[in-house]
Amino acid sequence: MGAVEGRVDLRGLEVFREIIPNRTGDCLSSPSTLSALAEAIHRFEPPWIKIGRIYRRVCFLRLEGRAVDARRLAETELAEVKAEILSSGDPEAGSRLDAFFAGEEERVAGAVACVELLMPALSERIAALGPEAPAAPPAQRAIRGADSGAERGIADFIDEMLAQDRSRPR
Amino acid sequence: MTTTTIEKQPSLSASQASATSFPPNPKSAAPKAGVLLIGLDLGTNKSCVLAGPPGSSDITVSRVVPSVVGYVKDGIVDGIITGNARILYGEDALRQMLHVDLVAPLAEGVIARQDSARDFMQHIRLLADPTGKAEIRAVVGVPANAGEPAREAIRRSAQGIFSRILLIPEPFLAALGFRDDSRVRQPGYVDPVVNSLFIDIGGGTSDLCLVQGYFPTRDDQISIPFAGDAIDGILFDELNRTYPSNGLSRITVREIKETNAYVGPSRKPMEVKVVIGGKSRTLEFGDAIGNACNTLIDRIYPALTTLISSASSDSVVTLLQNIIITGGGSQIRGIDTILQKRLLDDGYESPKVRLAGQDFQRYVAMGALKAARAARENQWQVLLG
Repeated sequence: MGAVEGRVDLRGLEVFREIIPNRTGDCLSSPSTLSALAEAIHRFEPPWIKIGRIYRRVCFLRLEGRAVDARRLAETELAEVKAEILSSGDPEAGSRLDAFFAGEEERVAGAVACVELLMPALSERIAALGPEAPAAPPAQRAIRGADSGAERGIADFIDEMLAQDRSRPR
Repeated sequence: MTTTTIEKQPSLSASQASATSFPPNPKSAAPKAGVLLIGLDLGTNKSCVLAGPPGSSDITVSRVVPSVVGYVKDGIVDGIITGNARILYGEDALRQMLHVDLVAPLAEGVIARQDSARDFMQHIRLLADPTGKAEIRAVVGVPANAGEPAREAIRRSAQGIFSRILLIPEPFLAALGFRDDSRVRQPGYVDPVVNSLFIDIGGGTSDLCLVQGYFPTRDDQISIPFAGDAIDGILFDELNRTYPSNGLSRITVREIKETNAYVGPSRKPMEVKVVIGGKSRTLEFGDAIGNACNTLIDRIYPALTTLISSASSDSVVTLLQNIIITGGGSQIRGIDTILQKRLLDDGYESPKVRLAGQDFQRYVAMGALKAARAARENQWQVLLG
């Protein structure tokens, strides 16, 4: 495989798939495995790392209902990195980007769902620690209400209110 | 997904609401014996009560009640007051104002007359539960940054009437009530609890609150003791200056204001027909109403920009597009346009100020009922008595 200015040229992997047999004389048996590997390795290239970070941020802002902020980020930083990738000469960059974005959306949604599941338990534990428990800074205390989570989220708000009341000097 | 159903209850007269005389209206949706949840917006001029059973999204009682208690004067002949009640409440008290001593239990958003406040709380309880048998748990809205004396006054007023209580700032409850829970996960829906600025203009106070996905701290809330009542006072004084000895009561002046209130450039002529000394007169109110209401803008605007400036740079652009006015003050014509224009003229990025809509009187109580349904057992305060 060649490496050009710190980037790995992965096109050669496609050639190896066809011509390198294993010890029993068979060719590499799962082209899909190699393709998946190629995709995974893509993520370690600098523009892909950067675009992943930015796109995850866009996804999170959308899920938070901050559509204007998400659009602003998509139209500026995301568009810039996307253009860099599309101009790399890789004919499949466009389709890779689409698949990449879809994957990142799922990751962010999964992460948010995980936080929502854990947040009530964490809040109860923090509340149980009493007034000495430090309150998290506002930027980290975003709570999204949703279906029965609307009621669950409200109880968490009440916990925060009670914690503020307890910490207030009488 | 949370849905609500609302049944309008038949209006209860004072005698029906009194636990000492007539039986409850059999046609009203009497809650079963057991626990009943109340969301209560205890307003200086008007209170809103919503009630419903726990574990359900039904609302069995939805009432807006003028926050006034009328104590029947001595010597009133039997039969003049329906049911010969000794205490009247809300609309009944106002209708019989000639025969009662009217008392406003609240002033500037907090309890000013403890005994009357207790009587009023008892009336609220009976509105929610005519049987008087249910255990009542109430979430009550308090003005933003209300101090401990104000909170304690509410608790004392409710002792022996509600079994448990939770006091939550009103503008935050307004955001909760305004939120459409059925749309929270819809793409494009901006959850008001995640990033908005609520302006709740009531009778006694105008409360502003940043709501950004966490419970607002003291720094996120500003309560201004200038609202509907203050406007009434300015208008009353101006009318007496322009039309001496006009004889108009404060209640009449308030009614005129509520019908004609506006902000912005003077709207003239604004002629209102009133009866003075038995004779019909037409008075010009345009300048007086405009000047009085514009004073509110001058008081609210600095607080609004203070809160905007405290929001993080990541959130402020979206925040500017989610400024919501609720409460009775949201009915002042042009208040959204004028505030939005001032923000725009001062260089704020694409501000959007909107009105809460026709349910403006109920959002705090709706948020309070949602909170009552969501509150965990250990979050309630037990009222002993």
